[in-house]
Parts: sequence; structure tokens; C-alpha cells
Amino acid sequence: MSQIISVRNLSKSYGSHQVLSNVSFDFEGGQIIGLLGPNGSGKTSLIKILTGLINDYSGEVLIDGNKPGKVSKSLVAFLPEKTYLASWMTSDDAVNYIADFYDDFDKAKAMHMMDVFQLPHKQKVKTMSKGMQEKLQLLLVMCRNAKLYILDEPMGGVDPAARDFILETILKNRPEGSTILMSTHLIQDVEEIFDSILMIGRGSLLMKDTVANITKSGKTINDIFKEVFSVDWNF
Amino acid sequence: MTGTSKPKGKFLMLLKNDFLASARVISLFYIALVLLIGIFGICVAVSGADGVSMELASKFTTARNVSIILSILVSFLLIFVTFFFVVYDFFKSLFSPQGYLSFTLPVSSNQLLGSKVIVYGGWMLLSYAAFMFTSVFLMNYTADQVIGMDKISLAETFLAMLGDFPSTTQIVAYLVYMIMMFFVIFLSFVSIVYFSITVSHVRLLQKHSIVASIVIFFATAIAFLVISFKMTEIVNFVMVFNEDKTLSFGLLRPDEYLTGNALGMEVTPGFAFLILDIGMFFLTSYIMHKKVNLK
Repeated sequence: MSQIISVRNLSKSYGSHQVLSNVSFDFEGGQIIGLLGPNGSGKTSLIKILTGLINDYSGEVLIDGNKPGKVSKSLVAFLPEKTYLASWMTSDDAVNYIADFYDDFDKAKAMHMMDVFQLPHKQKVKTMSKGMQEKLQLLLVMCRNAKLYILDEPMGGVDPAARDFILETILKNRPEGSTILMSTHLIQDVEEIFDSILMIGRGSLLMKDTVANITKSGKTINDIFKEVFSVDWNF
Repeated sequence: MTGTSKPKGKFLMLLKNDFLASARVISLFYIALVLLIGIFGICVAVSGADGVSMELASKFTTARNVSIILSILVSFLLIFVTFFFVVYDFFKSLFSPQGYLSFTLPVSSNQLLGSKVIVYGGWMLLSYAAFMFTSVFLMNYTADQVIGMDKISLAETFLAMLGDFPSTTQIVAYLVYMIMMFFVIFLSFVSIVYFSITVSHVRLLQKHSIVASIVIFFATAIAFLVISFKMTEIVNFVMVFNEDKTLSFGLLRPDEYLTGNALGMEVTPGFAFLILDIGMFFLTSYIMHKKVNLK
């Protein structure tokens, strides 16, 4: 299988502050990859680079063989941590907007999922609860038949019931052969779904391996994460 | 799985969505304006109709006068609302969390910026045209009522003041010149606004983005004026309205075309602004692509 993500000697700094330092890794397609690291580890910067939101970096980044740009953006479905929809949009407006730009968007499925998620078609984003906004954004992302899904903390700040719902929606609607790169702090809740792990800290790549290899010793991903990063909290 | 990208199609989608986003508010003012002009028309028709009582005619005349004032007010307000949207939508859709959606669309930053320049530049021109049309139309009607002149005689009086000059060709050339100059000025205004907002969202200035964008706006506007002035000093291309009703063009000094009854219109500043606008477009697009930091 070809490399869906290929990163070579990636470095990024903001002024004198280096957030990513000479990071290199590859991933084959068809996996669920956990992007793990504490706050400030460089996860968000890496995601912004992969999604084409940051373009001044050194090194090489390829998404399915394409540099981040128009083509790669048509292959990637991105779920940011923030609410990115315009407040005046209704659910229908949001669906039509995404359908206008992405050829792989399944509008019929989106309309059906809106009913399943109990999202009123004509309700404006600004009058929706945070939970409804998150459902709508998740729906917009998972109704695409993308090659790569990049999900930034999809379960951050939601209750356990909502976490199960989000996870189920992601797994149920993921097209066969697609890849998911998911950043999360809630390792315990999701570690069983990961095929591979990418752990970054202090701007460097600390671990990149399959879950099968990592857990051979009997330790969980959560245990490994604590071992790697507990040093940051021991003074 | 598909990843097919149709650049032209996507640009049209950008235009469509930028238009829809702006039209939802701006169009309300156009609807209000059309309604007010409609009310004005009805009032004129009823107050002047045969068999209408003096009392009713008086009420409709009052309503007509109110509709004239409101129409001019709404058309004036329209310019400010459009200006507000030029700034607000650009900031909101690109540099607030909505930027996470806009900048991950399968389009280039040239297309993102180009769509906004076309849609909002278009709205600005249209709003100004609506204001001019409303003002001229209603003021002409008022003048007609107050001083008893109709449109034709008013125009004839104006032309008579200028003697036998200018000719139809000169009037057409003057109108084309004015329209082009307005177009370039609006384009420059929009491009300077977009440049200022974009630069104020690079990491270095982000903490003080409002102050930064205001300072950059005025600094850039002054730079535009200075550059166009200098270019005009070097190459002063002029359209001259000659006394013999002809038009001529040439590289002239002011003392060469501001003599006698000849009138010269400088073309160089318009070209200078246009060249600066094009440069500003690509510079803004580059900064947007390479340097902007989304929070």
C-alpha cells in the first residue's frame, strides 16, 4: 500500500521557539493512527501542516504523494477542535456548503444522518448547543469519502456518553481503506481502536510504532504515555 | 474515493458562497430601497391623480416627501453597511475559527482572495451606484417640483452654461473615465483593507491586530497616493478635452493642458492604482498562504 502520510525532516518554529524539530515518519494507508502528546508537544502544529493551514516550515510533507495544497485538501477531511461553521448557517446551509467544494461528499447520507442525529435542518448554528454543533461538524466530516481523516481532539470536552457516540460515528462511517489520524488526550477511551501510534513531545518524534508491537510487553498505550511524559511533571 | 478537483468550478462555488453570505444582510437594504422608491412612486401617482381630495393628496404628498428622505438615507446607509461587510466578512471568514474551514477548502489563497475582491468590490460599486441613482433621481424630481424644471431642461441649462463645449464624444469619454476611476478607487480601497487585515494576522502583529490593521491601512493608503503622485510626475498620460470638441491623448505637463478652455484628465494615477492593486493582490495572497497564523 502507498504512503498516505510521508514526513521528512520537518521543522517548524515560531520566532525563536521551535515547535517541531527534524520530525520524520511515514504511514501506509488504511490505518487508524493515534497522535499522542501532551499540550504544547507540537501536535496542533503538525496537524496544521498536514491540513495546509501552516505553509512556512522546512522539510517535506506529502499527503498521498501530494504536497499540502489544493489536491491534498480534496483528499483530507479535517475535524478541528473549534467550531468552524459560520453562525448564520443552518444545518442545511452547512451541508450545501461542504457539498459545493468536496466531490466526495455524500449529501444524501448527510441529510439522513441529520435526522438520525436529531439535528433540525433549519436551525442556525448560533442557536445550537455545543453538542449539536459538534454533531453537525462530525457529520460533515464523516459524510465525506475521504482518503485521510484528520481529527483534532474529537472527544475533547465532551461527556463519556458523547464520546461513545462520536467514536461509534467515526468507526461506522469510515470508508474502507481510508486512514484516520486522531489526536487525543483521552488515550484510555480510544486506545483499542488504534492500529499505530505517533507520539510526539517537546517538538520531537518520541515513538512511532504499531499498537501490536507497543503492547507486546503487556503494557497499555496509556501506561507507555505516562512513562514517556511523566518526566515532564516530576520536579 | 475521489479527490477530483475542478479549479474553475470551485472558484465559482467560492463566488456563490461569498455572495450568499453577504447578500443575506446587504440585500435587505436593497429591498428596503426598492420598497421606498415604490412607495414614492405610488404617492406621486395618487397625489397627482384626478378626483383625489385635497386632504388625501396632502397626506400622500407628505408620505412622498418622507419616502424621498428615507430613500436617500437608506442608499447612504447601504454604502456603510457594504463597507462594514467588506471588513467583517473578510476577517470573520478567514481569521476567526471559520478560517479552519476556509483555508482547508480545496482552493488556492489566490482564489479565496479573488472571490472576496470580486464579490465585495462588486457590492461596493453597486452600493455607490444605488446611492448615486437614488440621489440623482429623487433630487431631480424634487428640483422639478420646486423650481419647475424637467430633466431635459435642467440638463440643457447645465450644458448651456458650458457654452458649445463639450461634445457628445467628450461627455461619453468623461463618463467612461469617471466610471473607470471609481472602479479603480473601489478596487484599491478593498485591496488595501484586505492587505491590512491580512498583515495584522501574522504572528508578530496578531496580539494587536485591530490597531495594527488600522495603522497598516493608513500607511498603505498614503503609500498608494505617494507612488501614484510620483508616477504621474514621471509619466503624465493625459486625456485632453479640446475646445474644438475633439479628444486627444498624450504625455503632457500640466501647463500644456490647463490652458484656455481645454480640460485635461490625468490617466496615470488610475493606471498607477491599478498596478498597485494587482501587486497588492498577490502580496496579500502570499502572506495569507505563508505567514498568517490561525489561532
